[in-house]
Amino acid sequence: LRAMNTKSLKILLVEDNPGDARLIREMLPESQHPTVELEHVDRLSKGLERLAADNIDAVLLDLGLPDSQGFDTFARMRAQAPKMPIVVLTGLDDEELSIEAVQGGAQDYLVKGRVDGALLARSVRYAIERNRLEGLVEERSAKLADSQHQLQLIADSLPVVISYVDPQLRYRFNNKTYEEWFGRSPNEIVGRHVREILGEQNYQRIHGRIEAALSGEVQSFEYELTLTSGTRYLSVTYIPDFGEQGQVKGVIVLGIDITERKRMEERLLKSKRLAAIGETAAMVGHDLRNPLQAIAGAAYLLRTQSVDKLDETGRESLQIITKSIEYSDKIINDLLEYSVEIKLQPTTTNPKAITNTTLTLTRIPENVRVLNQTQNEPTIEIDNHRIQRAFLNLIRNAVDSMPQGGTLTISSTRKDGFVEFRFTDTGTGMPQEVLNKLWTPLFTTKAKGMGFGLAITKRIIEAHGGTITADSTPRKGSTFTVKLPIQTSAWEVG
Amino acid sequence: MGGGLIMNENAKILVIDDDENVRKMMELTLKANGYVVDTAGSGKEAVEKSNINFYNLALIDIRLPDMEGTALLTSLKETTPKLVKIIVTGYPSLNNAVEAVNKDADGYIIKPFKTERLLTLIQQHLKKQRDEDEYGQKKVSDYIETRIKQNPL
Repeated sequence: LRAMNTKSLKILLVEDNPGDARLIREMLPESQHPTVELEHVDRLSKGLERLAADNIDAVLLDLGLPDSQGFDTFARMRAQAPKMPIVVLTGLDDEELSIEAVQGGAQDYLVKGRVDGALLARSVRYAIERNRLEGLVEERSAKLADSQHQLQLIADSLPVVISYVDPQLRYRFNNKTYEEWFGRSPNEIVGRHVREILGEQNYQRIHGRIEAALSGEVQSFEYELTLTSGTRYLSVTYIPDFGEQGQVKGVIVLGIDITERKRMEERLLKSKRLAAIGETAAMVGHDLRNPLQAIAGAAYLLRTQSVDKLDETGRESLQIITKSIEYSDKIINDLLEYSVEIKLQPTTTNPKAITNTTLTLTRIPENVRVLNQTQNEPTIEIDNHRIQRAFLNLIRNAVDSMPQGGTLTISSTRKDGFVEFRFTDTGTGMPQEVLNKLWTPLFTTKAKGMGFGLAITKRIIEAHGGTITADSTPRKGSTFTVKLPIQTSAWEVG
Repeated sequence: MGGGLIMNENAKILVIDDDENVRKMMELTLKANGYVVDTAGSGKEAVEKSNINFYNLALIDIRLPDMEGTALLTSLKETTPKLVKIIVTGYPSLNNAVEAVNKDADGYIIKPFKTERLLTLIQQHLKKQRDEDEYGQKKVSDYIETRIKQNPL
């Protein structure tokens, strides 16, 4: 009890009964205590006043005072000096009230008439000491809570997954990222098994790794985390936490979300693959020209020199050969066009002019009505030839989607810095699966066609710094929306 | 007919292509249309043949095993009337073709082409050649005529 030996104690006695006050005053010197100073007041108000000055070590408080009665007396004193050790004085018949006070924070209670000097001294001393320790505990808990809060805050604000897993594979700590990914608050995760939080599928992927970490090996690896919100790629490190005897107390888990990086890598790989396909395609395409030329020449000769010797089947076959040559030629051209870099040659035109010209380039079946509602304004700077090509693909697709006939509506709207073209058909429409893959080269739903049309269209539009999107309702029709900048300041090369 | 020495029907054409089938088809096609046709499978063979024989027109594939078709343009023997040189090309080398035309070729055609287009192109060039030749012949006879008139001995 060091704290008490070093200084003298000043005790405030709040007691309205002069007899009781005297009794207590007389009791104290009997104790072996080095120095105890007793100050006495007879009203609560005076006591509170006295406490405002700050050199009182403990209070002996009678609960029945002229200006305050019962528990309220204690409560008011406590409210004024929450850290002051208070020993309550009560009469014989009031023990319940005293217990209430102790539960409310009083350090002790003494029953008048049953107190001697030693008890009083000890009670006061313990009250002071207990109060001091309580304060210390409170302070330390506050500090601990504070540093824990800071740690959590730091962990939460990092764009990584941080957790601590014990040898039973239960979470001991998690940062907020878990909450975001698994839809559970950190409090819900702590104490639960890793398998329960990650789900069986993910758990199987890391199970061996975490076991290895628990046997003391640092683990570093990448894995695919399947979440309800989609797949994420993680770069994960497991660091064993060693206890003093060298045993593994747990594993620190650090996971960095590398989804974006992975996606970029995949995109790069895809574009490299496309480039390789393009090169090969160009070579194959070029090499196919010669045999195709020979076939075309042979067909010509048959048609011009030997047609009389052919029967009906022969003539039909010849027609098929001729058509197929034209079609092969188109495929090769698409292939080559797709593989070659787009270099734009801008000229000025307007929405009406470009759509009108494009419409003259293709045959519209009689059962398809075309409403060209595009405007003369504004003047736009585009590669006329290429945009015609892009629009032609959209128009042909629209026509192809209306084998039973229908209406194709083309409109243009000026929208700050852009012109928006809309190609709306009343055709068969497309389900979502088709919409998703629409822009992929070689994807096609047509028996005929290589699936380069829309991929080329997209490339052309994007080379202009524009965008193209598709909307569709099966059996209702589709709308392709093309946004082109009115003026392309920097012509991108796609 | 003053300069009608070379009739359309027997104009002589040299087909230069390393693809045997293409060569054969062109030969058959052109023969069927009344031309006299010779073929060469390489640049070297073409040069050799042009040194010995006279041709009105040469169809030159832009890609040959031993040299670029464009290089062949300047290696073929100069003749009178001037040999018509047509480059046959594929799309990826379209730029080369344009370049070639600007330099030494008289025209180009892109593979695969419709035979009708090739025939039209050949006819046009041969007509031009004939016209120029006729004009040249006419100039000579005009000149002689004038000299005779000026010198009425």
